[in-house]
Amino acid sequence: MKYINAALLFAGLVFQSSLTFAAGKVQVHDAWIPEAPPVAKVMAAYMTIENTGSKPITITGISCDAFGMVMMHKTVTENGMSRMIHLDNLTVAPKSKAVFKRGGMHVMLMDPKHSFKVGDKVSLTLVTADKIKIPFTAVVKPATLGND
Amino acid sequence: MSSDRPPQQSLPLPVIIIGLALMVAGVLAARYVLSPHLASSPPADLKATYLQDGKPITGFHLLDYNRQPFDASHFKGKWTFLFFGYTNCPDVCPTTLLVMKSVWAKLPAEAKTEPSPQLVFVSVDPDRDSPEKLKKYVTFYRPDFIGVTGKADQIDILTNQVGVLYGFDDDPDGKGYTVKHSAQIILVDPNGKMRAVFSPPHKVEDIVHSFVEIRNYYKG
Repeated sequence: MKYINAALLFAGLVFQSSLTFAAGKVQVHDAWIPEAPPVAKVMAAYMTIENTGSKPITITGISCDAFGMVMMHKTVTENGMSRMIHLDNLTVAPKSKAVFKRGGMHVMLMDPKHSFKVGDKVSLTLVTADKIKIPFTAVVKPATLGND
Repeated sequence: MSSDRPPQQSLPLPVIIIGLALMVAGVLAARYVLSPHLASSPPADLKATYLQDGKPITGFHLLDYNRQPFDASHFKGKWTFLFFGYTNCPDVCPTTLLVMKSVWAKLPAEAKTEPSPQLVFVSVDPDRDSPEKLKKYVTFYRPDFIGVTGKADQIDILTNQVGVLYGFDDDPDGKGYTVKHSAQIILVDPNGKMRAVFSPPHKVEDIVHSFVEIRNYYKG
């Protein structure tokens, strides 16, 4: 029994440390949300996800309590036609970045639970395939082109 | 036998030279003055597709965000930038409206004189975009931007004429559908003819430059 407890403890420590390891290797930079018209039911968040580790990391979702639904999307424009592709997941290669910016990947934020003004800070959470949660904060900025 | 006809006299050489010089100068001056009217091709550096003959747009009946009729007569006497989208659009529509806001800010004063430009955002999603909602959405970007929408068949009359496509994606969860749509900006001339197409990605400087060039070229 003593050995089993020790094994469980060891396994738990390994699991815990692997979580910490993975979480520490993913950083979110420059997260922001353009201010939107007051009637807008959909907003977008942009940011850079950096994987500083040596293994690929797969993002399987993003959550945000301030919105009814949150999805990773990508705007694709082909032959002048723009459409949005839902990204089920996104793998960030080792030592590389995934950039969410206008006209490309974005976090689609639907059904805001309250209105937002410039300067508000919004808490979001990345979820990886390993169920690791990585919290980050996006700032609401004026809707101008210069804020990218 | 003598002739009654007066003896012929040739013109002095200086007079001939001056006459020829005046003729050449006249031709050159006429070409200079008339060249914009006779030019067969638009400026080569346009960042837009120019329709040399234009394409009349007719027969659609929409409502503006004040619930007033908006039809082809509203193109007359203005340069109209038409963009098609929907207010639940998270990325492309807000970005395009911001681009056009910047275009407005950077247009030189002479490009805002009569016939002045107007921006018309056409919502292809009338089920969710009421005129009232459209007004709050569009005027957030600029108070003088116009929003219009209407019945689907009327929207289609317009989109079909300007070559704009749109469609609704599936919404299996009932959480809200997205709309795929052409992201071109259509320029309509003051006589109501589709005159140019700006294709994405849209750059402020390119639109400003091309619009000024098109205006000058069209005006002659």
